[in-house]
Amino acid sequence: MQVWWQPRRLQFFLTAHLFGVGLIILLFVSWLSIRQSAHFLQSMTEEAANKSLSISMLMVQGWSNQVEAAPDIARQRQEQLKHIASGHWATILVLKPDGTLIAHSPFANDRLYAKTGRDRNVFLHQDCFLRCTVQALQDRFGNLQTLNGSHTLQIHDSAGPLFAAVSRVQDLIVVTIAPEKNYEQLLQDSATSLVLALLVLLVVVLAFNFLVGSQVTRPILQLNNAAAILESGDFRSLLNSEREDEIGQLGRSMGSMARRLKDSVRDLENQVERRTADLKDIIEKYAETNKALERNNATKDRIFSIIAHDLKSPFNALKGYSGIISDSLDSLGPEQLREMVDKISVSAEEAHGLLENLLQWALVQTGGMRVKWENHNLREIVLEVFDLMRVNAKVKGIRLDIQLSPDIWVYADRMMVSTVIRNLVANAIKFTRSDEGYILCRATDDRDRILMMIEDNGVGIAPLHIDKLFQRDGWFSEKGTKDERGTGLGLGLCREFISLSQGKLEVESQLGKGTRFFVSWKKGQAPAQDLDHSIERPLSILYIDDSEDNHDLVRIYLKTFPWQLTFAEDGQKGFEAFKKGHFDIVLMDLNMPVMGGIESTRLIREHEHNEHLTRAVVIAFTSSVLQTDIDAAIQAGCDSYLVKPIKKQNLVNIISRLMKNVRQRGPTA
Amino acid sequence: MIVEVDKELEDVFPRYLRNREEDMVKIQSALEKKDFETLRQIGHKLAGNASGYGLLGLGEMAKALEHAAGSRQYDNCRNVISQMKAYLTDLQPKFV
Repeated sequence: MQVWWQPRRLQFFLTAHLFGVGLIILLFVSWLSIRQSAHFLQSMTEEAANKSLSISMLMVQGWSNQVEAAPDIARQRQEQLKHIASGHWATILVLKPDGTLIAHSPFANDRLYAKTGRDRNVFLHQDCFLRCTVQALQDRFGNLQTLNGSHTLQIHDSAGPLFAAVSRVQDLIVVTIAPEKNYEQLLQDSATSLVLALLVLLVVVLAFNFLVGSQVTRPILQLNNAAAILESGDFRSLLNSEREDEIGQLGRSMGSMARRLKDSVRDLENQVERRTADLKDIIEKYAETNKALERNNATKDRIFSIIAHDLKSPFNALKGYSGIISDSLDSLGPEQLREMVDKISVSAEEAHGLLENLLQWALVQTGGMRVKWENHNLREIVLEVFDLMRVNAKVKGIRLDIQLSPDIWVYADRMMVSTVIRNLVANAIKFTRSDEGYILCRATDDRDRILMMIEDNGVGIAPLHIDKLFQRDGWFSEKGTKDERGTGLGLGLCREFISLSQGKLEVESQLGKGTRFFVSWKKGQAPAQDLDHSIERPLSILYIDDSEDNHDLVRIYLKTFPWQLTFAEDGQKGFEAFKKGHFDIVLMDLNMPVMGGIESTRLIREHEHNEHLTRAVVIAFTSSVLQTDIDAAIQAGCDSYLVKPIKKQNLVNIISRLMKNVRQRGPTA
Repeated sequence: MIVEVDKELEDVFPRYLRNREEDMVKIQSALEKKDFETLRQIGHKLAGNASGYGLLGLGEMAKALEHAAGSRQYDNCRNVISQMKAYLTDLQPKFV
């Protein structure tokens, strides 16, 4: 609302309005009464004169017979007149037509009337009241004898205007005179009331001002202050008003609003905090991902560099020596031939070891490595590794010694144990000079751990380099004593696998004297006693293929071996047969009607898992050499694969090789 | 046409050839009905076992049949089948 005057406080605004309105009403009322007063005075006076005249006339009518009455009657008359006159603030005169005063009511001003003495019945000419009246009557009517009927006239007395009414009653004349002065008093009274009203108005307005101030303005100001405090973020100070009116409601609303606001702000703050934390997490994750990506990238680079350089050299040797043998087989002596075959063997082992490392390392890097916890005979694994390394050691003239009791068992993943030993032995061979060199593998039983030591009398490792050996995310590599290349992958893998196996790797070395690697494994348990019995049991093989001709083929190829053969025509039947009997090895054709080999292998693996059976070896037969098909087979749970056509030698080789694993695992439950 | 076959397979080889004659009857009727799926299956099976028995040529033809039936090429199927017939008719195994 636009107001021409906008005071700083509502209190003053309301007060001023009230005062203004009251003043206007008062002024209007006074204007009205002032405007009416002259006429009012006149008519009131005239009426009083007329009324008293008509009453006195009635009374005077009875007097005419005895105008000259006895003093007591005269007194009685006077009293009657007085009685009439007092009701109307008038003076009543009864005259004879000749002007003699017969009776009269008391004069308004007794001072001017002589009650006794000589002038008792005469006009008191000093008194204008009477004198002027008679004068005016005579002026108006001439001789009073001729006056007839009732008349009124205004007389101007020195004390103010008078009003007279005259009438003839028989032979008497009655005059009533009313002074306006009487009614002026009334006017004065109303003016006084006006002033009083003004005062009352002022008081009321002040009271209103005070009321408004205390009941409206102050609470509003308090609310305002509270709101200002609220604005600055402090929610505590809002008054909790107990008033029932709108201001109380407003206060309560503001209070509840503030509480809500407080809650909202708190919620908002919490939310912001949470979001910030989330954001932090995301950023951290992002940083981690970034690091992982960088690591992966480094891994990739590393793999490429290994493939490009390190894997090339053994193959160069393989190609070179096999070329020489092929070209000049006849001219080579048995000694030379033996030497070259040994070199080929060494290079092949080198390439194989490197490839194994690469594959396993890639698996580790992609997080695809799971520990398969099983009990393994440590001596058997070491012998296996020594067997692989035999030629490499022989070429450098290094002796491989083993001091290991056959009853030492470790609880770990066989592949990991084997990889660790292979790498440690390969390293030892690399850093040991020809002749007089030896590599010794020992192990002792220490409560719940197996402590394995691989010792050599090679060149040793400088203390500076020992630290580097154990750095994570780093590769340390040095050339061997015969300039053998190294990738640094081997020790990295060892570290990784030993930590996965919950073991420890330590090294002590003296330059020029040799190195000792210590590995602690979890202690395993020897399998139950019926192992020996189970080893005697002939190997059982299940061959699943839809081609009966292939059944014939396999049957004929394997007939010379002491193995039990069972045949099935498709994946479904094969799976049924597998559930009924116990099989060490399953030969699985992949492409079959009813149920293919992939599906069947999955079912077999599932069944083994549910029944807690020992894992059978599954060899996939496929006519496809596509990597995707082979991958699918491996993912389904196949251990290895053979590409068709079925050749006797391939078949026998793969079964013989995998048979070792079967034997290692011991009997089924 | 003389094909060298592993001596070990001498006992089972006649049965293998008998099975092939049965296959050829099935193949012929499937060809007439244009039942390519059956043709493909037999072709695949044959491809899987022929080489095992030393019949490399038959294995190649069976692969060709599997492929042609897979892509529903009637003429190619017919050609390959007549080649297979000729191969089996001319076949003289020599066990070494």
